[in-house]
Amino acid sequence: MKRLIYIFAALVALSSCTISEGGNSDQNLVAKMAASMAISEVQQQIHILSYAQTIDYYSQAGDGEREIIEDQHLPNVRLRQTDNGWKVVRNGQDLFSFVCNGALNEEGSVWNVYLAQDTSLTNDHWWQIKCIGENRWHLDQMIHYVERSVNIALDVKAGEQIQGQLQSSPIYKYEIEGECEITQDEVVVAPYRVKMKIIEPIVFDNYQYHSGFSGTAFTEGRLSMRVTDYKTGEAVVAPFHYWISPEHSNVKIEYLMTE
Amino acid sequence: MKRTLLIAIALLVGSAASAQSAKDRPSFDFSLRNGAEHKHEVRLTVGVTPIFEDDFFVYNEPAIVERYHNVIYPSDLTYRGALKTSGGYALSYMYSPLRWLSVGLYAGYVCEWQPTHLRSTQAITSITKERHLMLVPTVRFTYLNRPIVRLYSSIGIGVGFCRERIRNVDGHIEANYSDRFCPAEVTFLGVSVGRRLFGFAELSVGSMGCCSAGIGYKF
Repeated sequence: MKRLIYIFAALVALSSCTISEGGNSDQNLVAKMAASMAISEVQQQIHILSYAQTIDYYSQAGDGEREIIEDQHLPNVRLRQTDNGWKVVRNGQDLFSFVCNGALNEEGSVWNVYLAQDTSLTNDHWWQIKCIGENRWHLDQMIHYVERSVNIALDVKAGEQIQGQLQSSPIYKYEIEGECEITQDEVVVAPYRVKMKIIEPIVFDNYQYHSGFSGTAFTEGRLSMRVTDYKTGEAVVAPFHYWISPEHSNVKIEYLMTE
Repeated sequence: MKRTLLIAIALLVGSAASAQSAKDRPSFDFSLRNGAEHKHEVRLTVGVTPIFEDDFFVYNEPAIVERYHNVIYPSDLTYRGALKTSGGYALSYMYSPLRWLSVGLYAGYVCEWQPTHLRSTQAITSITKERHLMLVPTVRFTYLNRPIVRLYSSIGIGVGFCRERIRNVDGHIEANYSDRFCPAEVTFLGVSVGRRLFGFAELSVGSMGCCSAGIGYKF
């Protein structure tokens, strides 16, 4: 009888076990997400700049050359001239409007850009491209999406053309400096503010991936990042530096106790 | 772990039989008569890996809530750790109107807990504890009924009550839910060894676990 009780007690002790393992414990996940948000905004900016450069090139080209530009860079959209600039049209609908006061590469010229079709945008938004030298522009953006607002200021130096079609990504090589601030809508998501400052210029260029695939990517650059709860002022994650790499596994994050 | 459990079950079943050998007979009246003559039976059961419908719900994937991509949510700062269980414990009573048929019910208890960790430091921010109480009427079919060994299968379905509490590290209760549920248990193969006092082991699926074992007494 005693033996039975001992073994029963042992069975009780052994009955506790793990049913399923835990979820993703990646401690860098929030840092990576914040950096990705900021980099994604930078990419949008230089994508708009690539459109502007192509439109500028198109506006100065002759008839025969224009067809080549359309075939090479803009196979799915059409450019239409307006009273004060250009608009990009796809399937009969306006995508962007560019209001221009001179050639894009003329120092001091300013191009204002408007998104024509996007229900996620409020009315309170604008893009501006200002020429600050040959192949150098200052980009400003203040935009309110439904879920977040973005304030971004970049100095961009353009290089050679690195790919053809404009539809999916920028087509020139770029070197970018500047900063941005992304504020999430408290009601829709969470009251978090992401501040990014480029401390080593970001480079957008061709890249040959280890897998043999080649494409365009942000190949280098270092960001100083802060993610805070703007209601309490507390840091959501410790301030950190983020080294950009096109290979996800080579991205480096260094947390700073003080900055 | 599995091997240890199987050894423990084998030991339990074996010792239940040996506990009633002439050499090591218990002091009170465990007669050597055929246990099948006794129509009443009580059991204490311990089950391993009880399964409930929400056990494999992936808490970290907020599929239910529409998310915006490229934004950070409060839930992104934490993640759920391993889901652990105490195992299932039950007290049951069975009555055998026929040699091959028994009916009865068991009262069972299972506790499960899962910590939530902060991604940045892995520190635990809260622990979710879920307690299940259940009452399950059961029907058992015995297809081998020998004086010492019996083989059987059973099926049961009942009612249960579940309470979930999320308690933070300071002990403050952040959330408190309760709900009813429908516990069910199917035993594919059970073996019991012994006469009046017996040990048993079962392979099953349901609220008391994938395998269970215990001791019982017929009277």
